[in-house]
Amino acid sequence: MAESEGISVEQFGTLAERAGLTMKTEELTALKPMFDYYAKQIKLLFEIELEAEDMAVMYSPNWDPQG
Amino acid sequence: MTQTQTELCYLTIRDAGRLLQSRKLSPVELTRAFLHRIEQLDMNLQSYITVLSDRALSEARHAEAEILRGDYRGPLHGIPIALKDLYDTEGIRTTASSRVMANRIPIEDATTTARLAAAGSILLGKLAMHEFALGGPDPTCGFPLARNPWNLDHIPGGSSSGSGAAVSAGLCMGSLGSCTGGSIRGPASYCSIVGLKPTYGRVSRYGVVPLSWTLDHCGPMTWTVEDAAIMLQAIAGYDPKDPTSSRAPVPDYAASLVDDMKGMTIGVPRHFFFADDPSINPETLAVVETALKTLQELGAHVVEVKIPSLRYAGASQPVIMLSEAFAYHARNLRSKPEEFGDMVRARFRTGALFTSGEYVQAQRVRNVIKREFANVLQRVDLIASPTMSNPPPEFKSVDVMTTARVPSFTGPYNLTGMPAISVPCGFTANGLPIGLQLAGKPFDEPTVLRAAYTFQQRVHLFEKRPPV
Repeated sequence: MAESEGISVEQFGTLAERAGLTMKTEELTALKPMFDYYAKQIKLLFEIELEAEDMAVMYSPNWDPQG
Repeated sequence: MTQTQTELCYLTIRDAGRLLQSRKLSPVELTRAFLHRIEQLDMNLQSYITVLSDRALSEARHAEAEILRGDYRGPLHGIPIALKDLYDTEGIRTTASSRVMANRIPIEDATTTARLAAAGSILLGKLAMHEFALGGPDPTCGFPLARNPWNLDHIPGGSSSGSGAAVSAGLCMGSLGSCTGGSIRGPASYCSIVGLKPTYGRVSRYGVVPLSWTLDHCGPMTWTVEDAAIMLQAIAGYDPKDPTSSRAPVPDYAASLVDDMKGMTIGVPRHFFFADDPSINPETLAVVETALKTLQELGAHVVEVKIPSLRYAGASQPVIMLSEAFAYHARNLRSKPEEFGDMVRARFRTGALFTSGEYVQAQRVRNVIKREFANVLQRVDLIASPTMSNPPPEFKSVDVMTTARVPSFTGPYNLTGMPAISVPCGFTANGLPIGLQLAGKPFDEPTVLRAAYTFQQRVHLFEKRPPV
């Protein structure tokens, strides 16, 4: 998404179709501002230097803050 | 409503429990008072989706018989509560406020539902919520939109909107909300009640309609901190049906309710929560500054702390939440999108457009945020902030981007899994509630509760009810 900021509604429609979403043009037009907003936010996530930071999809229920 | 009935509905769980235990109050009388109040007031508040009058009275008669024969179960025995309509209830429609689940009748209780029933509570009904715990107050979702008892033109917050409104207006004594980015603490702040998001893993999520598996939490919403401790005691603890449930021992939360916070150290990340940002409401900050002074007067050391990665929380949390939400709803979004309300359909669809790399990056950033909080928590007992960056907005000003436009002060603790509470701390000049948020170390709910209890005993806002 982040690399796709500023794309046209037509290109946005292709992306949505790729994700399995069938939308009318007016729906695509209405959704695109939200898409553009999150695209800007996501750029932030790639600004931070994470090196080999782990992914940690699951939170450990027994996480020790001292550990 | 007679004065006596109103007084009954404004009792706390603790006080009502004492009266029930000593047989000075009948569970049937108490339940009838609530059912009558719901009938009188909920046409305006719209906090309930389903009212279970007959069933509640039957449960109340059963509780009365048990108490009369000496089988008192504890402080929730005979207490009328209600559940957000995403907690599964065996044989009772559970909709998540969505046409997608409009006729869904679970075949078993959520673990939390069952534990509250085992504690002897009376289920008054199922409460309104934002569609699938995300959508916002969306008139297109096909379900009632709960209103804020302090001002009906304003939203009660969400997604546990009905829980906030019903507890605040005295339409139930306590409720369970669910929280993925602030859905317990937000409505608690907006409705001037207490909302506790426990540590991730502390309370089972089994049988609760998911929004985002790695961010979802379940917790109590009540009028007082003491009542939140009572409800937490009933629902906390290991559940083999929830793979993220913790085996950590459950402490006696009532024992933590000591009116004393001398010596506690409270960190305030001012660079984030008190930032010079036009999207943060100055009146909210002023009220919370006064609350911080109160904490100091109560004997706490209030110090400034830095958590630089907080600036990434607002990007990380929605990517994780919406990606996971899309995974859960993909089949229905593709096959019957018209059954979703406009707001939630748009937001879930956005979740389909994040890449796998972006989801992974958001989870890695989450790790950094968790580590920075963990480091700070070695030096402080709690972290304080406003619960919400703004007072409750009017319905007419809310759209699909409203929550994205203002900073989330609650979402960071869904990322870290830390326990966090919202306790009422004041009002705007227009009479809209403002909450103080206190977050603690994982599984240290006792310290969170103790500080919130001490604060609540000092400010005494629980004596002020909304003008319903």
